[in-house]
Amino acid sequence: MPWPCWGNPEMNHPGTPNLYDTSKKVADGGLTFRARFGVERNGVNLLAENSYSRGSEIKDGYPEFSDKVLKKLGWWDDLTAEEKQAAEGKNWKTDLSGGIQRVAIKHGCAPFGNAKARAVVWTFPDPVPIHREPLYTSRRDLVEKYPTYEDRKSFWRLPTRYGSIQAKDYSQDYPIILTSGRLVEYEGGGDESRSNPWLAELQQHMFVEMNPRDANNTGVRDGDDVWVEGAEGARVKVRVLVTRRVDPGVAFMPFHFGGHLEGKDLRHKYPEGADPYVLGEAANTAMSYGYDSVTQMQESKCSLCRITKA
Amino acid sequence: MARMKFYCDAERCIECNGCVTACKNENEVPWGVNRRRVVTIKDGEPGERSLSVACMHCSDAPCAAVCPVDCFYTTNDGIVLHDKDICIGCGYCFYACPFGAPQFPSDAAFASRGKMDKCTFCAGGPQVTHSSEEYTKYGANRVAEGKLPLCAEMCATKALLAGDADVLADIYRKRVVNRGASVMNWGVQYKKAGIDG
Repeated sequence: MPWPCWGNPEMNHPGTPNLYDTSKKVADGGLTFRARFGVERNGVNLLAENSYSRGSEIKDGYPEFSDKVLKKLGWWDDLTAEEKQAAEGKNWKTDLSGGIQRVAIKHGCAPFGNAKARAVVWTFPDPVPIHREPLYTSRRDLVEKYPTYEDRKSFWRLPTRYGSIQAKDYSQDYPIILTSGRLVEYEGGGDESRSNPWLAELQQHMFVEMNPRDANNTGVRDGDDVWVEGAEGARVKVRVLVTRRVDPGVAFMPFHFGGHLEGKDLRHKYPEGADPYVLGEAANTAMSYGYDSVTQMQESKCSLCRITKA
Repeated sequence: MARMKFYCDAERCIECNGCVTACKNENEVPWGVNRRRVVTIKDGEPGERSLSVACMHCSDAPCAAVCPVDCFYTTNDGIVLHDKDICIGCGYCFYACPFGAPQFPSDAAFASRGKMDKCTFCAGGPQVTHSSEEYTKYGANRVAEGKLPLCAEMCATKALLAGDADVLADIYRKRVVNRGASVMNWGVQYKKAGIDG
């Protein structure tokens, strides 16, 4: 069933195919926006106003349901004796009897509350997303206007660099913007899909896509081998795919390959029988330092490189 | 009698290679033998189009016309099949075929050539239907089960169609009419993309 599918099996909830669809009853798959971040902030009401799902007995915003909310609404006695015992001191998430969810939905309400959607995330470094230039950028003119964060001494306990990397200009030595992404044949790091002969046969080589102008300036043709050297000095040996899919000054590498490191084939290091049909350089070898300021996900979309004939 | 045909709608094909993978899976086709493949023109440029190509099961098949041992035959459904026990792997059909459909395994009896292998429209071969011999030599026989080829059945965008030519023509005609009437005004988009000049 599409999430969320509320309550016990006995409730026979159909699931929620479209989130936040207030034109239906919650019992029929309708929903409100979750009240997850309190009920007010800086004196501003965070709950919904003039918006509720069809058939809701509360014609306004409301917080998530708990034993206390039920008691205040006078709905506590809708619970059975067993449910009351299990629901005491609990909320809709922790009440294992499912009674709080059942009663909320019986009255047309979403167990997780009814709040406003928000675009401000005050727990993030940028409460509203703003543009920040990548650590390695070819647009030095944008660094001053859109600087990255300051270095952090402890980011999930790790010292993490931002501004000190961006301060240095790498764009003279590494003039080409490097980005990475997916291929339709492979998934993730590609180890499983490169081990599938039907898929591996379709993409047998790690490559870098270059615009004809850059290929010409580098002196390479489609199918030649090149070294792609990232701004931190690590380099990968890959094949050139010349296309106009990338702009002049931009190169693209897929991130599904692994098993080669800086030109060396490491197939012999795989346990016997565990090596995929196809190996190749990992795009990350030549990508950026740089971590998302919230999740610490690595920067895999924007860096600088230089490309030379291998 | 039906006349079975493939049709690939270039406006819908997204070059996902799902048809190629479905074919390999269903027929256990070895690495290097491609009964079906996706051809892309203007790759990475405006007007890029992809087409999934296999044996077209021609009404007057040139492969059959040039075969020195006459191993080709056409079924009652208009499907062009061949008998691998008669085939000598000479490769004449490969020269004659405008679509590059005949494939030659590199590691079988005839060394660098091997006996010819090609798309069977998932209709098996001359051996007893659903026998293990038929499956080993020719792959699945879905047509005998009343099913269409798996490539077309699995196509996510329904670009690749397989079936009775009359039905396919009807489906395609309706598509073209709907595109013309669309609020997207695809006719204009075609011109922008340089498709219909």
